[in-house]
Amino acid sequence: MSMKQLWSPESKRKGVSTVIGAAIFLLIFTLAVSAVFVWTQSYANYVEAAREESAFVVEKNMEELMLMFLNSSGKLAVIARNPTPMTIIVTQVWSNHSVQTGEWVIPAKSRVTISTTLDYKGMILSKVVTSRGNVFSGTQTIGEGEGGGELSEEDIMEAGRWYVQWYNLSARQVFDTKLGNSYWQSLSITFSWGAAERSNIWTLHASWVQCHNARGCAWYKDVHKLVR
Amino acid sequence: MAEGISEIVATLMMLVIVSSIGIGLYVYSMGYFTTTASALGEVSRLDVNTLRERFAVVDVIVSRSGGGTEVSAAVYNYGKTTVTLQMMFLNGTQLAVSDVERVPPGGLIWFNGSVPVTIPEGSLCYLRVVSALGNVHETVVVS
Repeated sequence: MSMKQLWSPESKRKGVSTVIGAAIFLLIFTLAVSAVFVWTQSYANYVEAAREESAFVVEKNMEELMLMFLNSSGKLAVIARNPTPMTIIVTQVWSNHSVQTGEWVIPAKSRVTISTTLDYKGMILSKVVTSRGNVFSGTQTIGEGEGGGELSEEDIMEAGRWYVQWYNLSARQVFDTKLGNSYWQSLSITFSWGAAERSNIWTLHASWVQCHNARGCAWYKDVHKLVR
Repeated sequence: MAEGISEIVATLMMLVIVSSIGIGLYVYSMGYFTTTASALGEVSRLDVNTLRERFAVVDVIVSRSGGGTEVSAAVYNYGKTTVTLQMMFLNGTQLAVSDVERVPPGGLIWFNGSVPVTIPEGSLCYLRVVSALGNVHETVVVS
C-alpha cells in the first residue's frame, strides 16, 4: 500500500465509524466496571458488618454478672461482681417497673456497689441491664420465698457446683426434673426437648431454670440466654 | 460525480446509523447499570442496617381494662443505629400499637400495644416485638 493510498480521504472516512463504535464500547464497558465496583464495595461493607456483629455477639455472650440486691434504708442498692476478663457497663437498674439509667462501669474481676434512688421492692423484681443488652437478675435463698433470705456475699460468690432444675416462674416452685449440673464459671447448660416436655405446660414453664449450690444459694436465669 | 455523492451519502448514513445505535445502546446500558448498582447498593445497605440493629425488651407491664389487655414493653436499643419498632405480638396474636416508635442508640422507650381480650392474671405469655427491618426480640411475660 502506497503512502497516497494510506492518506486518501476514502480510507480516513472508513475509520470514523470504527472509532465511534470503539468509543461507545469503552463507555459501556466503563459503566459495567463501575457497577461491578459498586456492588463489590457494598458486599465488602456487608461482610465487614457481619464480622463486627459476630464479634459483638461473642462479647455479649461472655458477659456475666453476680448480683446482690440490698435494701439500703428503703432504697435499692446493688452489689455487682464481674467475674469475666472484660469490662461491663451497667446502663439501667430496674426495681418493679421503675428504672434508673446511668453508666456504672464494673472493671474485669472486680466488684462495684451501685446505689440508686429506686425504692427497694425485693430481689425478684430487681434487675440490671448492661450496655451489651444483657439482662441480669438477682439471687435468692431456696425455700424462703420471694424477697426473703438475703444471702451474704460470700455465699453468692462461691464458685461451687451448681445444680440446674426447671423452675415454674408463676408458681415460684422448683420441679423435680433435674437438667444437670454445672459450675459457676462455666454455667452453660445444654438439653434437648423430650417427648413429654413438648406439651404447652412444659413449654411455658421451661422458660426459666433455677441453679443452686450445696450451700443453698440459688440463681435464676432465662433459658433463652443460656441455650443461645 | 454521481459516484462520489453516493459514497458521501453512504458514509454519512453509516455514521448516522452507527451513532444512533451506539447512543441508544449507551443510554440503555447506563440506565441498566445505574439501576442495578443502585438496587444492589440499597439491598446491601438494608442488610447492613438489619445486621447492626440491636434491641431488647427489658421490662414488660401487662394491665387489664374494659375487657382488653394493654401491654407496655420497655425496649432498649443497645446498638448504634436507630431502631423503628413496628409490631408487637402476644402469643402469636398481633397487638394494636398506637404508633410506630423510634428508639435512638442507647435509648429506652415504652412501646405500647393492646388486644381486645382479657388475659388471665398470672399466665405466662410470649411477647414478640418486631422492628421495621424485620428483627425480632421475644421474651416471656407473666401477665
